[in-house]
Amino acid sequence: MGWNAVCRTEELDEGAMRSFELEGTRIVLYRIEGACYATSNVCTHAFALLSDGWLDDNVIECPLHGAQFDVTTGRVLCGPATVDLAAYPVREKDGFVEVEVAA
Amino acid sequence: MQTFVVVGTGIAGFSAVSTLSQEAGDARIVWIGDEVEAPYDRPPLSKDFLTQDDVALARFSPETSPAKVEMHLGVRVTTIARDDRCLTTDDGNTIRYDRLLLATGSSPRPLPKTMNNSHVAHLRTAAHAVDLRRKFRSARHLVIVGGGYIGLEVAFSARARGCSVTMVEVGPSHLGRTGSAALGSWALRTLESNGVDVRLNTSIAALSGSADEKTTVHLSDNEGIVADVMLAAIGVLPNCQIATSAGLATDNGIVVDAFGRTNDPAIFAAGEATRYPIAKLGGSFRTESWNASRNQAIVAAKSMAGLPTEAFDELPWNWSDLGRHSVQCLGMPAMGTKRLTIGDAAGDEWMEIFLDARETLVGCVTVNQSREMSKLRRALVKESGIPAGLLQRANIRPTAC
Repeated sequence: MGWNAVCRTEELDEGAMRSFELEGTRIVLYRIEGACYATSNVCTHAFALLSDGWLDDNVIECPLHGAQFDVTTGRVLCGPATVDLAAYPVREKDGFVEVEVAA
Repeated sequence: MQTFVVVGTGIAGFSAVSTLSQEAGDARIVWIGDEVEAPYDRPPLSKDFLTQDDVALARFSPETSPAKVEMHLGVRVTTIARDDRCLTTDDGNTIRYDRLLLATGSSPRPLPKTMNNSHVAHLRTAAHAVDLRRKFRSARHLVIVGGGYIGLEVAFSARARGCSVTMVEVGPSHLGRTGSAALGSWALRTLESNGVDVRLNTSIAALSGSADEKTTVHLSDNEGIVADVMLAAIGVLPNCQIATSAGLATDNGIVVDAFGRTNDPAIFAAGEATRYPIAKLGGSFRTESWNASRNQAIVAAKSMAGLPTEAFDELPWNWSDLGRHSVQCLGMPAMGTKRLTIGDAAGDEWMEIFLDARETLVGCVTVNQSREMSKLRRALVKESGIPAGLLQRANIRPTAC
């Protein structure tokens, strides 16, 4: 699928999240200390959207049961989840944030 | 080589075994549990597991339970000989330990023995949940006694399966012990709008069974309700019999300090079976919280292995998924003397913060405000106090509880 422009760079503020769906995949974008990151937007524990959760520094906490993930890598930091989030490559190009999702 | 023995396969036992297997070097780890099932997580048992026949048990992840752990499942500990540091099990084994951790959990509180209990269902273990799910396939009417989290979750699950439900609660509201008055009102409204027949201030006078497994539930107001399934969800009792028999200090729970230590230096305890100090609340408590059980067990396991650890001093935090609603409760709302309400408690998105006389946060309830609960919990960990933005939104004065 390659790179997909998903929003303008100024639409993603520091410490903010934006969620969107790309070819049926739910993705959430984060901006931390200037850099953009993207992971799956669905908690790996029970169905909940992480974009409804709370982002503090590089840690997103699932709103339902408090699983925590490092959004820069997708790694589980704290249960009840035991499976890492899918993390997607992100870049900023020509004023847009682009995410790469494998076909 | 040291031998660490952990008794109990719930979240506290699993958390202790995971911590020991990752951090306690080449120690021998023995894990004993009285259920035959390989260890699994309990929260889904009253939710997805009940509503969907194809949902499997949520096994604890095997990566964190490596082969070096020696499992004894379906085995009950019968005695602990503290002088010899060994325990005996009901399959005839004697197991010596250097350090022992009791994570024996709780059991459903039974109805009075004078009642005919022959067909009464409970929900705590996988065996209970499998039985209840099987009954739900043909059941038309369920009677639930008890208005706590398990009763509420099963009521929502049963309604999702199209089963009609009568809920009987002896007190004046639901979630009275752990929640708040407003949460009780919300629960009543939400249950009734989901078609649940709610009977408050009502108790069970008698039960009569019949050959077809139906139970007639005789209420204190003389009405009789015929139930295909009768679930008693009237709370739990801590499993501290073996601790008591071994002469360990118990007081509605195995008494431990903030490091999970009992009054025997070789024996530790964690999870729902324990009574432990919560300095932030200025007392000792027995709590029923997945999160507290997991985190307390990490501290206890580290103390047991002689590893550095901070004292366990978290406010207990619970979540409940009721239909499409997410309800969360932190600390002990009942200890509050002042209450701040944010949002409209007559709706489905609101929260309450409870403060004591020192203006210290002692509790919080959220209904579909999980992000705010996350913020608050993390602010408490960082000791930065209640987030200012939250207080600004509480644009009414605190009211006395």
